[in-house]
Amino acid sequence: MKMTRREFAKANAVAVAAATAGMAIPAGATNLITNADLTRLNWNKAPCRFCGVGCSVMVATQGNRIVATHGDIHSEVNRGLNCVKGYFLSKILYGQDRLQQPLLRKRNGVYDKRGDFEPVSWDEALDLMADKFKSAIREHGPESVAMFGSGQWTIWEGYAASKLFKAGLRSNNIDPNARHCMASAVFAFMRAFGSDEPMGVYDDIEHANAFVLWGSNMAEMHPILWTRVTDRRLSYPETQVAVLSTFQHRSFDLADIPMVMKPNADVVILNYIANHIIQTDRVDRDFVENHTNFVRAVDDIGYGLRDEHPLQQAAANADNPNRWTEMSFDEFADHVADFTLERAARESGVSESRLERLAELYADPDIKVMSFWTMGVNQHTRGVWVNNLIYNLHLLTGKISEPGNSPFSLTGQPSACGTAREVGTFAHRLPADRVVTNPEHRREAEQIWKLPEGTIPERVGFHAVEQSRKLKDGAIKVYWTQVNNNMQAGPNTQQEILPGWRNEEAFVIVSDIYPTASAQAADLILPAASWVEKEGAFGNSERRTQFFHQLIDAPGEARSDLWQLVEFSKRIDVADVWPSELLDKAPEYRDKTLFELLYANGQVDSYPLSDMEEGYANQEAEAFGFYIQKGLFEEYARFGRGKGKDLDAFDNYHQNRGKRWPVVDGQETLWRYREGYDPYVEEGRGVQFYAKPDDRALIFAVPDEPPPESPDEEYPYWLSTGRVLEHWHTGSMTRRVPELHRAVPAALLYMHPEDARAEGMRRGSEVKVISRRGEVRLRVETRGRVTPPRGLVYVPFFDANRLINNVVLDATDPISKQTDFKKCAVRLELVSLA
Amino acid sequence: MPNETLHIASLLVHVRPEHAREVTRWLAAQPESEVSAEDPSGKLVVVVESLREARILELIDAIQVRPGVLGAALVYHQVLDPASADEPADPVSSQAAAEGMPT
Repeated sequence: MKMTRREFAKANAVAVAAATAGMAIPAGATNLITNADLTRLNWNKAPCRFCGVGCSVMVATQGNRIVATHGDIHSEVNRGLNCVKGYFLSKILYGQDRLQQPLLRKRNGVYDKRGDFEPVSWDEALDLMADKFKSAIREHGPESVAMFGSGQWTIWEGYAASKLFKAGLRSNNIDPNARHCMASAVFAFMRAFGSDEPMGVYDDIEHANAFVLWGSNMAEMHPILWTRVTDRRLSYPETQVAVLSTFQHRSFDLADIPMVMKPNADVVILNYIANHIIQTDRVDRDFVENHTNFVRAVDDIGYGLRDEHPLQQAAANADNPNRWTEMSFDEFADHVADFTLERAARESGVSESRLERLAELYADPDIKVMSFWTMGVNQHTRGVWVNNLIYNLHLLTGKISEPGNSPFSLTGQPSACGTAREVGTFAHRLPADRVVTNPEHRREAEQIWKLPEGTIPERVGFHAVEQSRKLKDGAIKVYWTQVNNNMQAGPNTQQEILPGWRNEEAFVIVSDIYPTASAQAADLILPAASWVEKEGAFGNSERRTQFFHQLIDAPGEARSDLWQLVEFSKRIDVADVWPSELLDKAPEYRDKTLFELLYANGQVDSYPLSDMEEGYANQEAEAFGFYIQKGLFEEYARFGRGKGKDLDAFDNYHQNRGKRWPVVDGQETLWRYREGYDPYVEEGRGVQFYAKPDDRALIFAVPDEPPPESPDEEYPYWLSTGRVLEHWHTGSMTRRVPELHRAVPAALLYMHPEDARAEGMRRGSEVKVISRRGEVRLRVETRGRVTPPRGLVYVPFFDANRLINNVVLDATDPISKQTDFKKCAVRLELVSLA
Repeated sequence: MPNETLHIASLLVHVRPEHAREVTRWLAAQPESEVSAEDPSGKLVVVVESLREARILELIDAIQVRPGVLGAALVYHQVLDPASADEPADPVSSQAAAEGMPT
């Protein structure tokens, strides 16, 4: 049968959609299956590069270009579906202003901080970088260099970067932008369970009969998972959905228990629910006695501001907030007894009847409940506490680590888990939950990396917000950022970040695919490769590791972050950056480069090019002469094997749709800590939180403490910030797609119509949003996708022309150092009425 | 890449069964869309063909707000050169099946 290209494409589109829906394939499309080889398209799988859900997408290439995509029917995550962002995935690579060559600020032919960008060769760019790094370390020590990375790094990029800094340059000043996103979740996991990342999986959705959203707009931010929740709700009408937020958003459409609360009231509500569980005698006594301990967290921990800030000075435990003391169940019951239903309703503004219905979802032993949360909980000056308070409810009732009972911390970036968390690219971490402050952990890392004892510094490096402060203060001399846009995404841009980057003493390098706000504020711009322009691996929110091949070449001279890191390492000698005492311990490294020390070390370079799967390009492997991705992965995987973080063999991931760790004997693990599901649980134990020394998870008693800044007479409104579906994070990719840009062209100020009227404003008015730190001009929106309550305004943060983070306070959770983007005080000033 | 491109997409629309007929009729009346398959439980496969990619997004938005529609998800998207769209698809052997590579 002869088909035209148009007919063929349409038949293809129908066949894939019908298969996704589990429907019979319509007659016209059946021929397609028998004539599948009619197509000239070359199809491959790749995980989406946008959010932490980790949908698998089929990508069709023709020549060196992506021409079609569809949701991957074989993926357990998205089962053939795709969200709007995933749908336009390929176009994100094809913006007209894609960076294609290195650009350096120059004047009269030489580098000048106040010069203009001029194209330079890779050699010139990397040689200058190496000079800057070497002289900074020689004159000011290894703490004068820093790197800001990302949960969008592939696993091996994050690993290569972390190793370059912690082992090669001997600086722990490397942090991912996941600090802004997931740090509170990480600390709470480590506190409660001794091991990072969820115990459950997405499969919990099909087993649960209640869902609670604690500060998450899944409908817009995790739409494919939300489709699964919606399916469950519609297929099983007894299912209940509770949605809690400080403003009303699209997830409220499905809510049976909708709740708009006052900012910071989550601590009170969560303590009330624990109290309700105890008062109504629904504690799972057996579970609590056998598998948990109760502890009291230190209070009065400050707000992670600069040390000299009065709020920090006043806080008793600002210096050491991550501590606790043992307590009994009765003492815990006494502690939460103060959090009554009346108090929770009064302080949150949510009605007593709704709060009680919410509490019953946890208390009722017959309900299987899944809790979801993201930035509403994590970007919170008490983010770690709130994470722990959610675990408290699941632990008190034993509703954890089994199908349908699942506290599930969602992530924002495609590899926040796989790269930032598991590889340990945080300033305090090493791979597989190790930390730089633990001498045994450092020693283990040094042994795997074949380094002399004492190579890895003990001191925790500068975290994200501290990096900005140290740049401004002149302590950081060389700063390299990859795959993120902190000039726009970071807090308090005008007072902290921009002055730091433009500090005369600092040399700032930005690797990116587009001229973002960050790139434009840099001194050297390195053009990067993205997504399927390189071989990669991501780890999603449910511990699933997924691989993809290089399917197309990057444009011009753009090169992957991995190539940049490794090529840079060739230009630095070990002797340039290590002190002589350390070199004396390992004289064999005296004449080596960092490339030889870290990558051509007899391990990473032990996989020949012939190990690569036939038919795929691999720019980096070809450039370095060995299968570098495999070498980095296999070296990295040694950190987790036998430690509950086991990864599968490298080659398997190219064939499957990912596996959820721990992967033991080729088998993935769905529910951790539960016998019968998790191979690490000893026989007869039932449940075992084995990452804790006594196999017990911790239930935390924490008080209610006020936010660092609340509305007052001068600044009478709460400001909350976040995202919209069509844009991702700072919009540096999605804003290149005209269709996405047109859908939501510029950031708006969402506010209650009565507040607008009281301020003499209306829909479309131009207003200034002013805080104690800065101001931004926006147009008022009183209708539409986000509906704030009175007294709160909401602004998305994707718009480079309207940098709302000029206004936001750089307060952080004192434990996790994660910024609170969700609440500060502002006033509004009318510019023009419209 | 040609300046003008032809976009072919498919959507999976979930609709309450009692509204299916009305939604199908509305979709049939839109110039760019056709309902290619239908399941009595309330699932529709819709194919969209347009020279304007933005039109696909607009259509999805419009479908989402039709009475009885629970969701419209994108499944497939292909870009064609309109100049050669009506030429025969040329047979080339040894390509993976369209619905995914072999597992």
